Amino acid sequence: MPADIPQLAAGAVLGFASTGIIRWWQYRRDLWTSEVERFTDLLEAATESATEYWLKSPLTSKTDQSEIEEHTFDLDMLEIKILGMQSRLDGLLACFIGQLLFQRRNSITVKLNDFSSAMTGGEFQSKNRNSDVNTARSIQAASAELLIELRLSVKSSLSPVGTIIYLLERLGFFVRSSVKGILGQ
Amino acid sequence: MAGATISIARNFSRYPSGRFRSDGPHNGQKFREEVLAPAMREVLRKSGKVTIILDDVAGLPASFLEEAFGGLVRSGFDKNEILSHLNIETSQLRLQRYPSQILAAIEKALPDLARAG
Repeated sequence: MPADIPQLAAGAVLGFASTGIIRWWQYRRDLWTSEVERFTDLLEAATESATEYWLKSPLTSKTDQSEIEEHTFDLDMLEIKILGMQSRLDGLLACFIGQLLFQRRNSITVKLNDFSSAMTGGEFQSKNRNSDVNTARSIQAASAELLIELRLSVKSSLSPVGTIIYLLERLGFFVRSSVKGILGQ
Repeated sequence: MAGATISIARNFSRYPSGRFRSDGPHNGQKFREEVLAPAMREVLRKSGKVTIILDDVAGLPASFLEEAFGGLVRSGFDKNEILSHLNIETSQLRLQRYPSQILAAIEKALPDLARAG
């Protein structure tokens, strides 16, 4: 039977394209998984440190000078760690938020803002700060909300439909940028 | 159009921290009273916008942001006027979410009725 060359060629191209798409999707999934795991680990650490900070008794509860110095050191250390972890969470999220579907980006940002407000809001860094059980609980709740939103966003962005929408969004962005470039804006 | 550009890191401190003056030298109340509010009054008088540059700060605690920006509403500025005359910018990836957090702090702030009365 004579080989139908165009059909064979079309089949080969289709095969390569399918394999390429699947490989690209797997690469994207694996890259994301590691980024999300890093973010999750850091979120857990920040939640733990912030909860400890807000449950610590106020400086005014200490009377002995050595106790005051030690307590001041502990509070300063926690504040610096918390701010550092907040910055790293911001950085990590900024690195992969562009991979999420457009509609999910705002909700993730809002959840991270809420977590940040719980963690470093109120009387954070105040000398007269009191221990605050409710703030500690809010931090735990906000952390859980952020984690859920993150996982749902990644799941929807990696789904077959989400992948297609993501590609269309990127294509739309590329077309808009090209048109702006051509029009000289 | 007149306006003011304020870099928190250059014009105030790289290490903003705390809410009130009793909390340390680079607190939100000081930033609002000595830097932000005077600039806001000026642009409201002459038109223009206050542009806040967030670049290069080493962390932005929510307590500082809420007191600095939410405190504008409590100190008598109209919320809508603040929002229409304020611009917040950053070129650094790690600070990209802060404009939305600052705007949320302004939106959520309530006027101080005792001061208004």
